[in-house]
Amino acid sequence: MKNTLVLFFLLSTFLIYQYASAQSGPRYVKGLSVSLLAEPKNGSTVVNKLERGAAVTQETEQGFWAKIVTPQGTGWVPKLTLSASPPAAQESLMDKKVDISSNARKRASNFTSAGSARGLNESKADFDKANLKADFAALKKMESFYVSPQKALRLLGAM
Amino acid sequence: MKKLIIMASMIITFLLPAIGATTTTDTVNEDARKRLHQLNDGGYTQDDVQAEIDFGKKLAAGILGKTTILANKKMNSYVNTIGSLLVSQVGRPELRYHFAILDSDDVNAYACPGGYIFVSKGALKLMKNEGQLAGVLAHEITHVNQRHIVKQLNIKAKDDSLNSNIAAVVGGGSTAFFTMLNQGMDLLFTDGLKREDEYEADAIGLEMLTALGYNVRSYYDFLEEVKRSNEQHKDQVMNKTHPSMDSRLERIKLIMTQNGLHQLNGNTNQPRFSKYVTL
Repeated sequence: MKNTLVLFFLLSTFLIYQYASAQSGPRYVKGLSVSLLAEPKNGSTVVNKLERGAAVTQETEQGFWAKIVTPQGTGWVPKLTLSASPPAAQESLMDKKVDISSNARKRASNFTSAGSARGLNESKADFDKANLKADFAALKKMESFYVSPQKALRLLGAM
Repeated sequence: MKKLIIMASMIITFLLPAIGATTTTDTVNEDARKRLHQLNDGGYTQDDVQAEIDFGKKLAAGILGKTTILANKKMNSYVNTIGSLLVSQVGRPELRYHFAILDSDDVNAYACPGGYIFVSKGALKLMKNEGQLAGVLAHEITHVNQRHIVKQLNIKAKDDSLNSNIAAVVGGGSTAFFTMLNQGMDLLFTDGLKREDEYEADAIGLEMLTALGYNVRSYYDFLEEVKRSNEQHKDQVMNKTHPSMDSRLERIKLIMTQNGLHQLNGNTNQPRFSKYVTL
């Protein structure tokens, strides 16, 4: 009886551990060129740099930090720089037509959203009709200020 | 020994389903479901993301219909660079984040779905360093990352395969689409997001600042400055759309204490901020 209980305990522990590991699953580096640090604090020694999309195994966490194991070494990164699924490619509105659904109001017919199919400028008239003032020229200007994350990382070394 | 082996087999048979181990059939179904709906992080499809960007773009155009962009390219580029620095580490990789300074003396900041983020000239005037700017941008980026407006307005792409009876299809030009846009404008300018969303944006914003090596205390100091400003200008305040500044400050202080953030000497980059922000 004693043997059975010990065996039951060991097997339960093993299976629960296996299950917990499977649930946490692999983690992926979401940030660009993330520093793998020796300790969970800024200013700590950089063990290596991790590229976006790299699959890693999370061992443990401490506050805002996660301890991970990678082929480049073991160390700490901010938890926010990891995600449970591989990072998606950047979306572009020009790629495809999209329908938007919402419970704002029920409507029977399908309608392709304006951004892709009709062009943003064309939808200005719709805004006017709906008594909503919109400035699409200013929106374009805002988009012209765009700085890519890669460029931001480069610039801040030189700014 | 034989008895033990039989016992072990029985235990495994009993325990596997009890702890919810995945079966082969489950895996196959899961894979099929993923292929069918192109699931990405959080269960949103690529089409959902496209819908979010489309809506956010138009909501941003609506904001720019109310207030103009500050005519200062250097300053706007600087704000974009700091915003993109945060995004480089903690943003949603599928989005392009855009930032602009609104030419308004109100002290405020707004985030539209899809990554369109605004900070007012009035807010920048109150800031003393880059840590404070990064704190405000981190708060707004969190609203985008956590899909606060997307969830509140239930913005998603139409999914024919679901035959959902809650999903009404709307699009550019339809009355329903503009109803939704008006709801978005009301959330930003009048009603505000849910209090818990604001608290979450503060909490994750602090985590972002830590991840980027900024001085976390800067954000707390800025909010204290806003609180002081609110008391002087009761008509031009951030808390038109936010929970009380006292409750936010209290929660931020608690997070800082729990995570030992008071002791950190992160960057404020004050000289760089003063070089680019000249108001």
